[in-house]
Amino acid sequence: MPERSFHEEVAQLKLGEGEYFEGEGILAVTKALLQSGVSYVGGYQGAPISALVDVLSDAGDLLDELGVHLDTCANEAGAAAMLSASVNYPVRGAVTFKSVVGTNVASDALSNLCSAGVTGGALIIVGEDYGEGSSIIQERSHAFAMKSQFWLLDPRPELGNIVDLVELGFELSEASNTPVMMELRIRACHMTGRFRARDNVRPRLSTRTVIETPVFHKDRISLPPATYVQERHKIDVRWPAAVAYIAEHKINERVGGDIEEVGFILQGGMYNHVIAALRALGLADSTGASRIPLLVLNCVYPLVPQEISDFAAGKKAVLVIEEGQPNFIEQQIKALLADAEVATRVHGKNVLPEAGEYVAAVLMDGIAKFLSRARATGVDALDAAQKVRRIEESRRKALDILGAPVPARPPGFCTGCPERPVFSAIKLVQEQVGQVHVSADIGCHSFATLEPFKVGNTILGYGLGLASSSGLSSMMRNPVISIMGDGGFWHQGLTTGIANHVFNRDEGVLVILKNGYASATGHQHIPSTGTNSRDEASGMAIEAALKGVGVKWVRTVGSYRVGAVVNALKDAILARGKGLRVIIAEGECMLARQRREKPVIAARAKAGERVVRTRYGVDEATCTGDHSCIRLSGCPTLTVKQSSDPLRTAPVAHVTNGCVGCGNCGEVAHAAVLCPSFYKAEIIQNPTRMDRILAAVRGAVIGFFLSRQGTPA
Amino acid sequence: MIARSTDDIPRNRAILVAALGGEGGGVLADWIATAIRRAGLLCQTTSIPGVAQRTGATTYYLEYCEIPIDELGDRRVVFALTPVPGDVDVMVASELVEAARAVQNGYVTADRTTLIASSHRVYATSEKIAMEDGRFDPARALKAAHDLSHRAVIFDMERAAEEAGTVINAVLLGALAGSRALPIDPAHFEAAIEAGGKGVAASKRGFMLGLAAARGEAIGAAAAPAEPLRPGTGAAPLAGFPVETRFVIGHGHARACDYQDAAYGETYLERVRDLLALDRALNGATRGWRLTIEGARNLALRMTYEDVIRVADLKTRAERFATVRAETRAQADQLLHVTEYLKPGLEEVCAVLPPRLGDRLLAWARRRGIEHRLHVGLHVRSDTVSGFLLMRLLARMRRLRRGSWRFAQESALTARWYEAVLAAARIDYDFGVAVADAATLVKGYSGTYRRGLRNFDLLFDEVVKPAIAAGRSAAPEVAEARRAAVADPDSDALDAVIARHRAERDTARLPHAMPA
Repeated sequence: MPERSFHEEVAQLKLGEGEYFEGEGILAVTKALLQSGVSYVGGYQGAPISALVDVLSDAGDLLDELGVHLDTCANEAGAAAMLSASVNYPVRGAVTFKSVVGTNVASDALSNLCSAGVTGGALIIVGEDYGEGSSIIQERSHAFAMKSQFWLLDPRPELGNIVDLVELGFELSEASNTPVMMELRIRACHMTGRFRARDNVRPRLSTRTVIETPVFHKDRISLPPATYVQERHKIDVRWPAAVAYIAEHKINERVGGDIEEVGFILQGGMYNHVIAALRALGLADSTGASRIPLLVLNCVYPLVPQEISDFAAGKKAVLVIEEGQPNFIEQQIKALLADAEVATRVHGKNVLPEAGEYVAAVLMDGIAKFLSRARATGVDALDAAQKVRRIEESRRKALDILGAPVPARPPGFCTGCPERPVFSAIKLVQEQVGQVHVSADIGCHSFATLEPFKVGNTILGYGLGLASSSGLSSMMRNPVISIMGDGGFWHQGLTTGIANHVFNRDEGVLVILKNGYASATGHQHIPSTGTNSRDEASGMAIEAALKGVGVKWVRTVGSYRVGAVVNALKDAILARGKGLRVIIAEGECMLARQRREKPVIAARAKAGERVVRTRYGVDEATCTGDHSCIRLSGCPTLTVKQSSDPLRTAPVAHVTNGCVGCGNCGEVAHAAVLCPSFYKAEIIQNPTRMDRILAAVRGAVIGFFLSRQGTPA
Repeated sequence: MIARSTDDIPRNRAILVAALGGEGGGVLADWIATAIRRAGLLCQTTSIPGVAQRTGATTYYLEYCEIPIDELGDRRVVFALTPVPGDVDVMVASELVEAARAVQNGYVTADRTTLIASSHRVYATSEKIAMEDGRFDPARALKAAHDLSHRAVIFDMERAAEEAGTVINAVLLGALAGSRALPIDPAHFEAAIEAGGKGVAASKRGFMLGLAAARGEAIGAAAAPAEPLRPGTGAAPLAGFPVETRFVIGHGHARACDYQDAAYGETYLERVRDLLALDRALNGATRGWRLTIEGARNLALRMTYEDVIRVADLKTRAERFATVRAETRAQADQLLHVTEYLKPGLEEVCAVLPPRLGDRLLAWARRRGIEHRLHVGLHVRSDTVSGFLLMRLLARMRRLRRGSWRFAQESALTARWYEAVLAAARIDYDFGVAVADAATLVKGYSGTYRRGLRNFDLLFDEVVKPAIAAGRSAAPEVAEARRAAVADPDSDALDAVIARHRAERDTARLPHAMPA
C-alpha cells in the first residue's frame, strides 16, 4: 500500500473539455499525457516525480478504458528502453524518473534511442532534483541532451503552460524524429495550480487497437552501418526540423519591457523566481509585467539562433539566467551572438553564483549586480542594491541575537525504523572486531552516514553498495561491510553487485535491509513486497534470488534484535575465506506498518477486544544524562528534557509519546550494556478477567511492600 | 503567451510554513490554501518534501492574490515558487528553533511579518547527542522571534495539541486564524479542516484552542506548580549555611539520607561544613559561594554513585510506578506491565562484595580478559510479584554497601577529589571551583562510567595534581580539559589536550631548552 492514495486525483484525470483541473504540477503532466493520446507510460519512482506513476497505478480502470499500457519499471534503464516502442511505430509514449541520477542509469538506452530516432512522439519527464530539498548529487540533465541530441524543455512553471508543452513536446518529437525531455524542478512538481482541461484522447494504437504487423527498418537499428546514417540524419534533418518547429510554434516566449537597453534570457523554469526577484526590486508586478524585457526559454536545447540575436540586438547587455553548472546556455549564446556579429555584452555567471539553486534571494543579488555593471539608464541600480543590503542587515541582527546559527536539522530515520537497529549493531560490532569500512548505498539507509551513526564511508549510486566495495575488498584487514536496501537489490544490486561478487569469488559482507518497499520514495511495491503495484502476487524472494546466483552464506535476522544482528555481523566478518556473506536484516518499514496496523488495532480496541500497546521509557531518577543511548539510536522520540533533579545540570534522556514501541532503545541499551534506565511498558486495553485477577493479586502483594516503604530509612 | 498587464495589481501575499517531517506540515499548507480558495482568492502552494519528509526540517510556501478571482477577469497572476527574504507576510513555524531559523534566513522581518510559532522544542540530533547539555538557548531564539518580527503569536502549541488529542498543525491553523493576519474568515479555516475529512473532530478541537490562544484567551489547565524551593530544610540542620547554598545542600543532604541512612547524610553535611569554612575564609560571600555550591552539588552526586542497589531501589518505589503510569498514559481501567532492561556485570557484583573478595574476582577476570564481558542480560518484570521482590531484595542490600568493594573504591576517589578541591581553592578560588566541577565527569554505568573515570583520572593526574604540587592555579586548564572531555565520546579531544600538557611539561623540564 503506497504512502499516498491518489483516488481523488484519479477523478481529476477523467476531467473533460472546459472543466478545471486543480492540483500539483506532476499530476497536471499526467493529465496532459492522457490528453495527448499517449499509448504507453513507464517509470521508476523517485522524488519529485513518483506521483506520476503512482496516480496512474491507482487509475487502472481509466487506463483500461483508454487502452494505455502502464509499467512500473525495474529501474530507469528499463523505463527509457520502453520508448523503443516509438522507434518503429506511430505510438506516443512517456517515461519518467528522477534526474540526474535516473538519467545516468537510463543513458545507455537513451543514447541508442536517440541515434535510432523515433516515429511516434517520445517524451521523457525528469524531476530535476537540484537545490534545496534535493537528495542527490548536484548535476544538470542538460548535458545529456547535448551529447545524445535530444531536445530539452524547461517549462515556465504554470500549469497551463506545462500542459501545453507536454502536447507540443510530442508534436516536436514527431516533427523532428527525436525524443524530447521535459525537466521539472522539485517545486514545480509540487506546485499547485489550475488549468482548463481538455478531453482525454484515445490512442490510435493501444492495448485495445493492437498493431497488426511488425515494422522492420534497417536504418532504425543502432548498429553500424546504420549508426553513421543516423548521426548524419541528426545533423542534417532532425536538428533543423526541431529549430524550425520551435520557432514556428513560438515555444519560447518574449515579454516586453520599457527598459529596452537591457534584457534577461532565462530558462523557463527560472521564470517565477525571476519575476519574484524583480517584484521585490520594484521592477515587475504580480501579473508578471516586467520593466526589463525577457526571453523565456521553454526549450533550452536546441536554441533558436534567430530568436537570440533578435532579442539581444540593440541592447547594451543581456543577463543569462541559467541555474547549475557548467553554463552551457550562456556559452552557446555568446557563440551565437559572435557568429551573428551582435555586439551586446552577455552577463551570466559573472554576476550570479556558479553553483546552487537560483532562488529569488540569490537572483535579487545577481540582478542588482548586473544592473550596476550594465549601467542601464532607465533604472536606479542603487535602489536595488539597497534593498538587498536591508535584508542582509536583518539577517545580521538575527545572528547577533541568536549568538550562533541555529542547529541544522537534516533528515534521519523515522520513529521505529527497522534500519536504525542495524546501524546501531554495526557501530557496536566494531567494538568487538575493530573498525570496518562501510560501503553505503542509496535509500533511507543513506541517513546512517549522518549523525549520530556516521556509518558509511562512500555512496556510489543506487544498488551499488556491494559493487563499490570490490576494489577494496582484498585490501582491507577487516572485510568491507556493504549495505543494500531491497529497493537497490532489485534495481541492479543483484546483478552488478552480488552475481559479480560471487563470479569473481570476492570476499565481503553484505547487509540487505529488507523493509518491503521502495520506502524513501513513498512505499512503492518492489518484487519482494510480494505484490506488484496492481496488487497481483509477484512470487519473488530475495533469498531465492541469492540462492540462484550462488550465494552460500546467507543469514536472515530480525532487524530489531540488535544483539542477534551484532552476532550475525561478527560471524560474517570472521568467516574469512568464505566468499560473500549475506545478512538479510528483516523488518517492515514502520511507516507502512503503522499505516496498516493502526486502524485495525483502534477498531479492535473499540470493539472491546484485548489490545496491548507497547512503548518504552527512561527512568529519570537513574539516568545520568550522558546520552550514549541517543548516540546509538537517533530515534526522534528518544530525546532529552530538563532533569527535575536539581543537582544534575545535564538534561536527561526521555522517550516522548510518539514512541511506537519498536524496542530499539531497550535492545541497544542491553546490547551495548549502557544503563538500566530503559523500561518497556505494555499497556493492556480491555484486559480479560484473568488479567484483572492476576493484576489484583500482584497489586495487593506489591502494595503491601510499597506501603512499608513510607518511612524513610 | 505571456500577456502584459497594464492595470495595477497589489503585490501577492506570501505565507511560509516551516515544519518537521511527520508533523503534518503538508496538510497544514493544504488547509490554508483551501481556506484562501474558499474565500474566492487565487492561491498557489509549493513545497520541497523529498527526503526531508523523513524527520528533517522542511518548508511549504504559499502565495495568494488579494483580488478575488471574480474581479481578476483575464488578468493572470504570477506566483513565486520560493519565498523572498523581506517579503514574507506570515511565517508559520511548528517549533521554536524552526521559527528562529526563519528569522535567521531573513524570512521574518520587523516591517512585515506576522510570526505564528510554537514555543516548544524538538531537539535536533546535534543537540541531543552532546555528552552534557547541547541544547540551543531558547531565550535567544524567543528574543530573535519577538524582536525581529512585526507581530508574534507564540505559545506552547504542542501542549495544546496534546490537550486536544490532535497534531500540532491544527493548533497552528487556529492560531493563524485567530491572529487575523490573513483577511480570511475563521469559518473558512474550519471548513478547510472539514473538507480534509480525516480526524476532523480532533483537529477542530486543536483549531479552537489555537484560535482562542491567538485571541489572547487563556487555554488549558494552569501551569504545574513550581517545585518547592527548599525541600528538606526542616529535616536538615541547615541553619548555619548561607541562604544561597541551602537549596543545593538541602537536596544533597536529602539525597545522601535517601541513598544510605541518616548517618550518611550527616557525613555529607560534615564535609560540606569544612568546605564552607574554607569558603568563608576565602571571602566566599563576595563570590556567590560558588565553591560551596559546586562542591556540595558534586559531593552529593559522588557520594550517591549509581550502583545496582540504588537502581533496584529507585525502580521499586510507589512514586516510580505512578510516574510510569503517567508517562505512558495508561488509563485507570488499563493494566500496566513493566519490563526492566538490566544487564548486571562484574562491577555490579563487586558493588556488594567485600573489598578483598572483589579484588580477587576482578583479578581473576582480568587475567582471563573477560573483565568487561561477563554480563547477564535480565528482563525483569517489576510489576510481577517475583520480579518486584527480586528487585526489592537487591535494594535491601543497601546494608552491605558500606562494606563493599565498590564503596571503598568510590570513597577513595571522592576523598581524593575532595582534598584536591580544598587544596586548589587555597591556591585560587576559581581553581577550586573548576576542580569541584570536574567531578561531573564521573557518572553513568559500565562503559560510560569507565570512560568518565578514565577521563577524570587523566585530568586529575596530568593537570590538577601537578598544578597543586607547584602551588599554581590551573583554573583555565582544568576548564579546558573538562570541556574537551565531553567534546566527543572517544575522548580524542581530551587526549589531544593532555598530550599538549605533557609536551609543555617536558619542554619546561629541559634545562637549556632551545627556542623552537
